Amino acid sequence: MTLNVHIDRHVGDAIASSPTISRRQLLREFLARRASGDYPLSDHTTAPASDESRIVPDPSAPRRVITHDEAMALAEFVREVTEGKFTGVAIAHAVTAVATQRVGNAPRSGDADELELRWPTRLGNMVNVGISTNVRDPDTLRRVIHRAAATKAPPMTGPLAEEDPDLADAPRPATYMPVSLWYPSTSTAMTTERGTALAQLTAPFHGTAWHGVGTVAMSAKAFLYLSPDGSTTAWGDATDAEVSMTARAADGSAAGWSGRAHRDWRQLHPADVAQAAIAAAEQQRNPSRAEPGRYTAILSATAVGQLLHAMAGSFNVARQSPFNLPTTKEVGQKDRRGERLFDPRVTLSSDPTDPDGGDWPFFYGDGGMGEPNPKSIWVEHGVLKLRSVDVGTGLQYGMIPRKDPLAMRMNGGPTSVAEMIANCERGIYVHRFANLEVIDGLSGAMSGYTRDGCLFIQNGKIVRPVKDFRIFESPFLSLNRVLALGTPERIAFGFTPPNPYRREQHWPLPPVIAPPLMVSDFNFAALADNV
Amino acid sequence: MHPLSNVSRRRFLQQSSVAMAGVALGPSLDISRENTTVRLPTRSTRAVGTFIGPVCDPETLRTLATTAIEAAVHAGAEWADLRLGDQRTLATLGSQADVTLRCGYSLRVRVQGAETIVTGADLTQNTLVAAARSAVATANALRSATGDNAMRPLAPVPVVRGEWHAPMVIDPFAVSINEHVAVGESDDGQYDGPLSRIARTGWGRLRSSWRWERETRVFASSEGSLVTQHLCSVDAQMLAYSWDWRAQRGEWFELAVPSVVACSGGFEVVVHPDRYARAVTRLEELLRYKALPRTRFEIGRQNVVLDGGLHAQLIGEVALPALSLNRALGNEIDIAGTSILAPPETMLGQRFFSPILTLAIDHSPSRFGAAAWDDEGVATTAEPLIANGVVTNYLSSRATLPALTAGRASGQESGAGRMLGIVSAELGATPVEMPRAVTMTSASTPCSLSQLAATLGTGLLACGGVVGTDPNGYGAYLYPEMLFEVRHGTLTRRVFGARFMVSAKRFLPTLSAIGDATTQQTVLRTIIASGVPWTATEHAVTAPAGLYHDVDIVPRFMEQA
Repeated sequence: MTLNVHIDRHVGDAIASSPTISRRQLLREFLARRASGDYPLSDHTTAPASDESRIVPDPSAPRRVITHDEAMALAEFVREVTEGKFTGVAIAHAVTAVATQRVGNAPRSGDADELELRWPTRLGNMVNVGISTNVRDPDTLRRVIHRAAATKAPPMTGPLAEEDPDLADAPRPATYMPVSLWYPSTSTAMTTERGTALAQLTAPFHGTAWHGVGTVAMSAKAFLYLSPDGSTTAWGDATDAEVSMTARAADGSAAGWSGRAHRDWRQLHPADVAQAAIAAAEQQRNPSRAEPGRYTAILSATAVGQLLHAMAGSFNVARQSPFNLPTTKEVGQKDRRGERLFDPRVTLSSDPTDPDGGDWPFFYGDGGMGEPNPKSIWVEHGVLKLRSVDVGTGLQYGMIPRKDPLAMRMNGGPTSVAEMIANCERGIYVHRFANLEVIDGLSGAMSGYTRDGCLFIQNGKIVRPVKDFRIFESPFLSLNRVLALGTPERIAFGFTPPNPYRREQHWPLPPVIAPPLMVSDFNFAALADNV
Repeated sequence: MHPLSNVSRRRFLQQSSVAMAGVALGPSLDISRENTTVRLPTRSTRAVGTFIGPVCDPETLRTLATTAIEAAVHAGAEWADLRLGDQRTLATLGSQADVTLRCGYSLRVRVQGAETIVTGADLTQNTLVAAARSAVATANALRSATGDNAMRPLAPVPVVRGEWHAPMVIDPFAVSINEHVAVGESDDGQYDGPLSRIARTGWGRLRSSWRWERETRVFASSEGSLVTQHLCSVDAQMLAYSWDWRAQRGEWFELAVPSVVACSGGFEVVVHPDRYARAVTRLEELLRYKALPRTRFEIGRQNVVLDGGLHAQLIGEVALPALSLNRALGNEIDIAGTSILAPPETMLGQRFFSPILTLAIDHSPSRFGAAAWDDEGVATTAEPLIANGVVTNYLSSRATLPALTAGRASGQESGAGRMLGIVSAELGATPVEMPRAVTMTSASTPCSLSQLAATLGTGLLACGGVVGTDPNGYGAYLYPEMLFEVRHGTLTRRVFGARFMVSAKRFLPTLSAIGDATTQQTVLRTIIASGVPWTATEHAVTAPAGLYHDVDIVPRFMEQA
């Protein structure tokens, strides 16, 4: 089949289009480019022999998530048992341990454990065969896999129903960039540290009039992809942890929140989090109302991180976005890459090896099957450089797949929050936001609320706490009105509810490293009743 | 997202030896989790149930449940309760039918002042025993956090034992595939009969989808309760919609047919005698709306009439979470959020809502999720939540109710605030304070949607859609499916590009008129409720149309002109 396609080459290359090129030729060219890309060697290249005895987990092992050897044994077992044509086996295991406690009450905890096996049978027509299980009994698995493989796919029509042999056999690079996402301290803490952490969170509240609720959440994940011939494996494991605390007045008139997140449990200090929450709540005592309008806004790192997280989807080439031109109607057409769209001090990037957070070096979750995810500099000195693209669209249009920048770093600056306040003639300090949503994809306009109150600043000083606002603002425009940037830090989102449509946005959310920010003319559109 | 393809499944019970002596068991239960779906053939005279194997024996489930409770107590739990179930869901859409098979459990234990819950999907003796021991071990590990915090005792409830069957006349799994498909195909298209005229002139069509959920659920507790319930609910939706199928372009219009609702029952709910007549009426109404000229919204404040569907969404999204006692007490301020009805000791007995708003748990046998006992083993109740605008009860559980009643002074015993029997849990998930069905009382005097619009005078009429709210429930966004301008009581134009932004505290009391029973609609909602970890529950909300005042009209996501 011959298609008219655009070959989109990335930074440094000219935008070129080929009016007539076979899809097979395009795919070969693209795969050759990808195979020679920036993927240093990893050491997970050999596939051990299948060993049924290693499928069943060792109940005495302290690690709660599947190990590499266990995953390989399981993957080999599935590969051998599965009949018919498929493009590999993906195994994903996620364990979550959460505990919460209200000061003065007893603690509560809950754990979740999900092991998922997935293998696509016909990538071309979007049919996936998979099972979700926490049982690794070989006999049971064998029975279920046989039935899954024998089940008829739903009838499909149109071009997508054709099985594309090139896509089905699309090889993956044998190597992925090395990342450090796993910390044994967090894995161990899932079993032993929740109680201690809760005690540290609640202790500072004794003797105060504040109500407090603290949450300790930990996660361990593992992912393995095995290619059909066993020549390629993508393996990774990751831990993450978050501690948060909310202090609130008995009458609900004031509140304060603090949270910290880190992959290494040893870097989290619950007592400090509790003290920070109390301090924030103390600042918010007896809030008054401020007139809605446009003010200079000093956004905490948490607030900036929330805005960046809400912006992430706009980088995708398949979405309606401020990064599109009015003439951009399809993927592959010219958009605003190469234009300066933000303040020159703004740089946004995603690096799986980021020491403050990092991310999987491959597509994981949302149907990802271990396709590599490279480092990306999305915006450099205010200039839009890259857009994200999922695997299917990337293969179709000859673009290197890049995950949406949910894991993102924004560069910082030399100005502290205290200096920002001192230099502010009239403005509002925002602790964090709630319910941010993009309501206009073209302008990136968002609406939402501030949360836990704000602080009113006048003539370089905090003069009084004020109640919350509804906001109506586009961060794409705000990042053009930057007055000052602070020191970046990894932000905490809190134990967020799951996104029913995107598993990648289940807690823990990918790390966001953001600085506090001072911007002009931020739209605090209306008053809000929440505290 | 790649849809999962079909995975056939057959269930077995694992052979066991000592503890299961005397109970005949087969091979082990297979793995089972969400999305284990069997795609049924499009034509067959065989009953649906013949494609998926036998139902799990209730006695086996009871044995597993008691085994798990005993294991938890033996490991050191001071109290434990367990919900486990075997569920099968039949979903039909047109000529397509799928069966989803799931099983799961959730086990709660209390140990020395800490509470832990573990959930899973593998119903085998070994797994349940291991889960019980793991739960107790986790709770023990939390003891260092208890300090002097004694765990408040659970509200006492009677020990219950028994078995209950949901009212069902025709088992949907005993019906042949051909009969199921015939229902869908007869709804879809309808180029013969009453709708042929509509189909020719206005591109109107109907589409129905049905989802039957049958579950055998067992509840057991260390206090001695052991109940088995055979549940059967149906989520039925019928849409009247209009689109230019030939040109594959144009605006999409849809309205839900109010008579087709979520309820309890079997295949008999399909053959409602008025179903087609109401559907035709709804389709004609839709085509009248479609013929109205189109206009862009204007930012500002308007009085609005919400139809029953949108009103039910609003009640379910804003009022119900606010009535959760766990939230009102402040136990969820760091996770799910707070409540506009806090603190409960102050709000109970106070008029917060409009005097014409009365909301109650729906206890009728035909309601969605009908059951004799809730997921804490308490007999289900039908107390009012809001009576003439006054908060009369909170949604409470055995853990939270003592906090509400403990500080009450004598003389305040009015019966209010003492409600249990509403806790619900999805299969294999954490129980939450959320009833399966609530109903808002409609007007006792005749008041149709047209009459409400006439009462409105000039404003907006909103039909269908969804509602979103912030974590504390103070603000809400309403996204109407269809929006109309009303002038002098008459619909004049369709409005696009708008949504409503409201402050719950100030908006809800402005309800000034409600419709009668003809305006009632039932919506089935999934709410991601609180829980450690997060869990979602499904519940049905029934509400009539309502007239509200001073609603902010703000931009919606940009629509194509």
